[in-house]
Amino acid sequence: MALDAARREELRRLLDQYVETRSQADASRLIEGHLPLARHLARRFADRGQPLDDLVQVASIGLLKAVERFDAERGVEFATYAAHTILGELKRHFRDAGWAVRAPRRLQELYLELTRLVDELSQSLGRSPTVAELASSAGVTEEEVLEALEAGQAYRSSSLDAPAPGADGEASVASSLGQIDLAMATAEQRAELAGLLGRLAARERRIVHLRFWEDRTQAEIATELGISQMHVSRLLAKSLSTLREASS
Amino acid sequence: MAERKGAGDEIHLVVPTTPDLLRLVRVVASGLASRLGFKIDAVEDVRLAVDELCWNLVSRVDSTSTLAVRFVILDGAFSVEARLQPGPGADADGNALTALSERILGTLVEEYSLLEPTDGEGAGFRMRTKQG
Repeated sequence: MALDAARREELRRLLDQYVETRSQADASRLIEGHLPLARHLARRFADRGQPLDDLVQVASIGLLKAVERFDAERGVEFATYAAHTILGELKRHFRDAGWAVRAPRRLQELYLELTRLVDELSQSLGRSPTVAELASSAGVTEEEVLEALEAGQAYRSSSLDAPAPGADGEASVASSLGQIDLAMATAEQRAELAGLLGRLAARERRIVHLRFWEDRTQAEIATELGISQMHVSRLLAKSLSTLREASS
Repeated sequence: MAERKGAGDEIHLVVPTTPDLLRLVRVVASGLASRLGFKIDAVEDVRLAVDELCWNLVSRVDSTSTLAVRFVILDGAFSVEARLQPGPGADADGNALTALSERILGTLVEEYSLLEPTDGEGAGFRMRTKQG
């Protein structure tokens, strides 16, 4: 996303002009000129289960804020300032978007701490920890652990989370269904299952498949996918919520 | 979990069938699972199962209805029995489980069944957790 020198100079002049005029047209041109930066930074977060287009949208909001707030007097390059603001916007998005029912910040933080502890304790104990063990390691009460778990699962399942129709192709839905034992299913149930599971993103569909068709534990799935056990738990809860909404 | 913790004890909970209050059923279920020494993934399984069954039961009823839930502590496990108490004119029937719900519940719990409405009560469900 490196800009050539001429383009950089053009944007610098445009920025100087905007600082003087504060004209909407200049702001739009500045935003357009720096969109490659926004896209570049959005792509860094593309492995977190959200569509890239949504992330670019969030990054663009950060860019807009950067244009509006930039103060040339501070002696910082606009691109540096913009990158900082865009990253802040993206991080805030992930921090906030995951919590549909706004959980108090201390619970969000405890949930993140528990995510780490579950993996650590699972390693050292050779099994999943109990709530009491987690509470003891985190230095909180069992009730607080349960409260944080409840808050952590209050994940919004909205159409934004669902892949666009055909986003990863009917073939992949069909192929993941192909791995699923549908012997028990009638043709009607098979069609219903295909339709429902097709609402999930590929990774979530894989998790649902591993958990409910292959009877794999959350810890095993976490190892296979290279993510934390709590993340598997969260994605499972979110997937079931999405499936329920889709089937209603 | 070899120790018997309060086996036979019962907890009764009556909640309006609104999503924010239905979470109390999950909270009690996960609290019980925790008290019985369930490992964290087993606690999560209980929560998902309770969620699945409650949602299936209340997705068609209005907010004037309530859900009466009875938790019974067993030896290293517990059962949950819930019955709809329909509000005036509200539907007392539950929904049939989809093939997907059956698959999910078959993985998460030891056993489950749907309960037909009776004269005084609406539809319901019964489930027993696996040993934690």
